[in-house]
Amino acid sequence: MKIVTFVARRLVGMIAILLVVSFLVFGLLSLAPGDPAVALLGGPSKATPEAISQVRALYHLDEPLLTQYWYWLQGVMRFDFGRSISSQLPVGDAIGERFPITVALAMYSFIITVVIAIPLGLAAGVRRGTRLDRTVTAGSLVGFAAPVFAPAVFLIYVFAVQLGWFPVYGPGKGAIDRIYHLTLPAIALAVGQIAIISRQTRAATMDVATQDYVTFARVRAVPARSVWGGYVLRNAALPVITISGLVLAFSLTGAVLVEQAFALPGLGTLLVSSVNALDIPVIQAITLLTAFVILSFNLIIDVTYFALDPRLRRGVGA
Amino acid sequence: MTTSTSLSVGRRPAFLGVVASLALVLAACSGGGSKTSNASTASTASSSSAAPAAQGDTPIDSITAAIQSPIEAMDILKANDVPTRRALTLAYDRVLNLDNQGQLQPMIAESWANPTPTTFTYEIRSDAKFWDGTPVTADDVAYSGQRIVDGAATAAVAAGWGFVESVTASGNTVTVTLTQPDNTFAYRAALDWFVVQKKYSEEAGADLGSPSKPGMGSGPYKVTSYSVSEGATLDLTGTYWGDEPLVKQVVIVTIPDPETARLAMVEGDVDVYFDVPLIATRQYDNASEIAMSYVTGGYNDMLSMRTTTKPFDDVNVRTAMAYLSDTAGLTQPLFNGRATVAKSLVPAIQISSTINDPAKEAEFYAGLPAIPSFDIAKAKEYLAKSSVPDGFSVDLPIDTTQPWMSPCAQNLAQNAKQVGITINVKNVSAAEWGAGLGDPEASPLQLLALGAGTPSPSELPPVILGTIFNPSGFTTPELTKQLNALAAVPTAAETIPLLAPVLMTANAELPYIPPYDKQTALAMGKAYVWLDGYSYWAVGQTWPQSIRSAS
Repeated sequence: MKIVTFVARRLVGMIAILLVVSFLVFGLLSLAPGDPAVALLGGPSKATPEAISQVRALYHLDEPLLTQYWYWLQGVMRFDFGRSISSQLPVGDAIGERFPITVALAMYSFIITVVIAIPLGLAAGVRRGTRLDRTVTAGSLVGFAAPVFAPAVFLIYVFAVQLGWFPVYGPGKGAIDRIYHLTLPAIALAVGQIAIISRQTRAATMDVATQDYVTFARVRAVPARSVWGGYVLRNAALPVITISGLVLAFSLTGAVLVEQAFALPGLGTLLVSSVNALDIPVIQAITLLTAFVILSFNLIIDVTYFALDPRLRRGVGA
Repeated sequence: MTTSTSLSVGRRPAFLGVVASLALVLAACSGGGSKTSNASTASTASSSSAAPAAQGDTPIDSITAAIQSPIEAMDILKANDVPTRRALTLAYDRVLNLDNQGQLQPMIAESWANPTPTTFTYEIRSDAKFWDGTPVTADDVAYSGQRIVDGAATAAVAAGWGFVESVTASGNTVTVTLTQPDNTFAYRAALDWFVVQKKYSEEAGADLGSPSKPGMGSGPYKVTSYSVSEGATLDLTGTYWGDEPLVKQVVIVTIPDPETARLAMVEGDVDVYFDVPLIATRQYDNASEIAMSYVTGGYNDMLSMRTTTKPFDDVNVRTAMAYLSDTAGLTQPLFNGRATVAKSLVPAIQISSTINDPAKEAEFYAGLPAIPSFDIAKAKEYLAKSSVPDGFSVDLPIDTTQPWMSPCAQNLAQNAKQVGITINVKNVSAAEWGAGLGDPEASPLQLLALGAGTPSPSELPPVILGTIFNPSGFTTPELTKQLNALAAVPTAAETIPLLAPVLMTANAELPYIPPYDKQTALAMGKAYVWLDGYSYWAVGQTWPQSIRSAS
């Protein structure tokens, strides 16, 4: 019940934060140079003053900022995010088309990341100073430093062009085809994430492994599997979960370079093109979605803490 | 019948690899020519790298074509960019068509006339059918034009229809009435007037062109599937009134990165890639699986100086700036050598299309003052004679989505530093760059990206030296008279004598420094050939009609 109350409070806070974020973005966009009405009309060489004023009226661009925001907010409450200034099609449709691709990519890369990074980090932490540790550390350094498009191009050359195992581009259609198409992009995206999470896991493992309760467990001849699984990994999990949640949230919204390299029509490319075109309704909707995703993951992470750490449950109850 | 259509300024989503920036949509996406023009065959000087010579007439089951930015909508009122037009022209007939030289040809209209300066009439063919089998009527055609007029403010092609009062149907004839003579309108029938079914369109309402309501056209292909994110699949209807393409199915996909597109072509996953960025063509030239076609394009980039603002109100300063532009030296690194130093602010393709005689063309250019070529000493000399002999400082905003701008600007800045001029190159978004072009408070030094919409050389000067869109602010009473005369000429052929004094003034006064005339590149898998050669004007055509099997 206490956790339910905690979650309810956080949800209320989320709504407040989303309102603040949306208003800030709305305000900042209004300060950005450029006129979306001129852009819509095909540039300054085509935009007559009459046409500009008509377009501004149509999209409420001639209203005060607060009024514009209120119109937008009313629409959002009805899940109507307006129409794209560029294509004049519903923003919800544009995002709805791309979101599944981005989610599939993010989840796929996250699974690859977790499956590889956590065992690697744990092993490196447990065997500190060994060749394995040095290899994992060096590998994660390379993965962390490599710009995301570099592994993308490398993977395309090797596995798509030379070996022909995977397609060069596109998201695929249907579940199996999509997994097939997203394999290389997910690996490319996972390279940097593996580096981050494996290093975090290694550091947390090393920290926990030196704690008295671990030493005491060993002295009590607790089986090694229980020591590492039940004592070390569980206690090292908190920072790992924190960083993993943020990594997943980032991949849901920031995989633009991978999307570009593999011609994946995801949210990242939509955001970039919308910013360039000053397509305010699309930018606003994606920003709101991004904020929602990050806040949601933070909430999920916090709830997971309670599941993992009984001290926190007692803290909420106190 | 007259000759020009609007020429716009802005991003080039297809040609410069811009995913989607400021929606300054390029009118170069389409073109036309005067029925009475003498322009004919020389407008598309081309070269191909080892394209197969044989041209089969066997049916082709399917080809995949790649474009650099998404098909924004299957409706010309909502999207007017080049990549979108690559799909629209397959599904929707236009009232008139464009040939490889950009000349107007019959399409849904069997014939047309221009009985008065403010009236155009079109006789609609009787054998055309929409995909659902219903005939295309004059009423549908009139509706397709009138909807642009009615929705002018938000229509992506609105600019060219500003003087259209009405589009009406009577019997088999559609009549367009203008409020005043407009010598660009003749081309609108081929550029913007996509024929849609009135009934379907009215029922679809605002959703027309969306994935759920892509439209009902009379083109050789019907839209089988479409989404902004995944592209379009178009299949032959089998009931087309005209020459049916040999390609049964066309799949159009979006691949923003030219290197990914190249690899997809090498793998055989993509058969055609339109508008390869010139800076990326070296890798394409080296790919044995790809045949490249380069044709004279209609793009002419410029450095604009606001002549109403110090120090650019001084022609000596502008001349010094021209001498600082190392345009010849940059064509290789910026465009892989697929560009030439511009001789005037009118795209070269328009001059060559209209004069249509290399000797006379050379004679025409010889009569113009030469644009100063790179010479630091001369730049110093002119700067010393100017109102700012010790130099000055100025910002130069560049659109980060157009890859040629940054090296071009940086090179200019480095050269300018040698004579005491400080040019602060500023990276800005496409939207900010576009806004600066029309803002008198923005920097007086700007880079422009211009494109030819039609073969008419009278298209650009009245725009950028007149009152429509003149970032330089340059004008004189005499020039205004010359521009008015140029805008009123009935045919492209008649523009040349009137164009010469305008360009003489422009080349001497240098409100704009036109650095390059750029080519347009097409990449095709060697299993196919482009019948009769690729053309800059192909963007206005039902292009699969030109695709043949190489075997």
